[in-house]
Amino acid sequence: MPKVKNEEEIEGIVFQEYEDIELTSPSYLIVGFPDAGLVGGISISHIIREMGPIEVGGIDIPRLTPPVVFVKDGEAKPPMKLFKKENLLMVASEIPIPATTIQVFSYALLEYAMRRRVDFVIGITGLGSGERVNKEKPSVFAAYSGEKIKKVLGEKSIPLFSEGAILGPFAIFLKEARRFRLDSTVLLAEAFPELPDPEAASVAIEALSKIIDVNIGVQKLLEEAEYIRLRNRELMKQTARLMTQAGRGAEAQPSLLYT
Amino acid sequence: MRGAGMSWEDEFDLIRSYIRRRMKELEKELENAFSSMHVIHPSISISPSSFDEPLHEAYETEDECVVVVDVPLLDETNVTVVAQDGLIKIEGRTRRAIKAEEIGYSVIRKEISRYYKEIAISRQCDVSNMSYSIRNGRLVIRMPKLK
Repeated sequence: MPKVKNEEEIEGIVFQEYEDIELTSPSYLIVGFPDAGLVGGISISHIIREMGPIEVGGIDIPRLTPPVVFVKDGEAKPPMKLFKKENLLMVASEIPIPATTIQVFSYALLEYAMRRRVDFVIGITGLGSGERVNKEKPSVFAAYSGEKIKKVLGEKSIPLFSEGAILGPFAIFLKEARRFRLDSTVLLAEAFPELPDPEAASVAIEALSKIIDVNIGVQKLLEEAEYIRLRNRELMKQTARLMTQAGRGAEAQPSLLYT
Repeated sequence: MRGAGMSWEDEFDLIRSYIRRRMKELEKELENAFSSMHVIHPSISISPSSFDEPLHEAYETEDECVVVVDVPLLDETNVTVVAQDGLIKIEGRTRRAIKAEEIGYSVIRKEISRYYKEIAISRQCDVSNMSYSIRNGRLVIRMPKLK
């Protein structure tokens, strides 16, 4: 394992830092997991490739069964990695979050973000949509919690997610961020829920670029889309199974209340 | 309040047995929770026999049945789609062979040069009016619903 400088355990989740993490303001935590269409995972992976941030830490879930580490050039690392560049901290996960771990993991990540003085938490995810098949370029919507991020979304003309339920870790990010003195938004890109969807990731990244005022090119992502889809077939299968356990896929359903 | 004829010791025994039972139930719940967690590394879990089999998803609207099959590097000219006995059979050749190592698999010595998939379809779907197209390596099959 890389040499750990700081280690904190929050709610049983272990955060390891290979160097001190200080972020310039306004600071952002960008989070994407393998989920619907693998949009979150593909997005984060592309952002890391384009921006070249430094790997500054890892996140481990010690009770994960079976235990898992990822090995790169012989070196074992936790399944989730922390990357940093200037005012951006990113969480990249090699694994979908198991349904039974979503609660503790999400609260722990919010607590960690607060301790590192993050201003905004931005989640990237896929929104399973029957309309996706009819669109060359899918749409992206934002849900938010907090006045500061509401203002940013308005200024950047990011369309809002009009109505529906959000399940999984991003539900906790949205409803609990305020308790941790954070503003939070989730970017939902229309996606094929059970097929890797790099095109959906590209529109999510474009929206993110506007919010954080950093240009992140998506041309390479689109050019390599077919290879990315082939590469991620097995991860997509496993993720689809876990999403069913976590109740994902209900986002587009209308609310019972007509308010 | 103690029951008639019950001593304090009897009540403590009852409480002790309740706690033991509850502890066992909690252990069982925890076991179930942890056993439902499973994470597998992609390059370890892949079955070589399924390497040619593309992912797909299917859904129905009010009027039609739609099947989307993920077939990267496949052109419309190199695919056959046949409906037979409640199944759609898809077969095609990719533009070029892709070695497993090109797409990140370090322990598998295989390549993808063809796809084959059989998908069961609902009886409500009118296969005699099936149409399909390929765009960006996704095969989209549409069938009107039988009235």
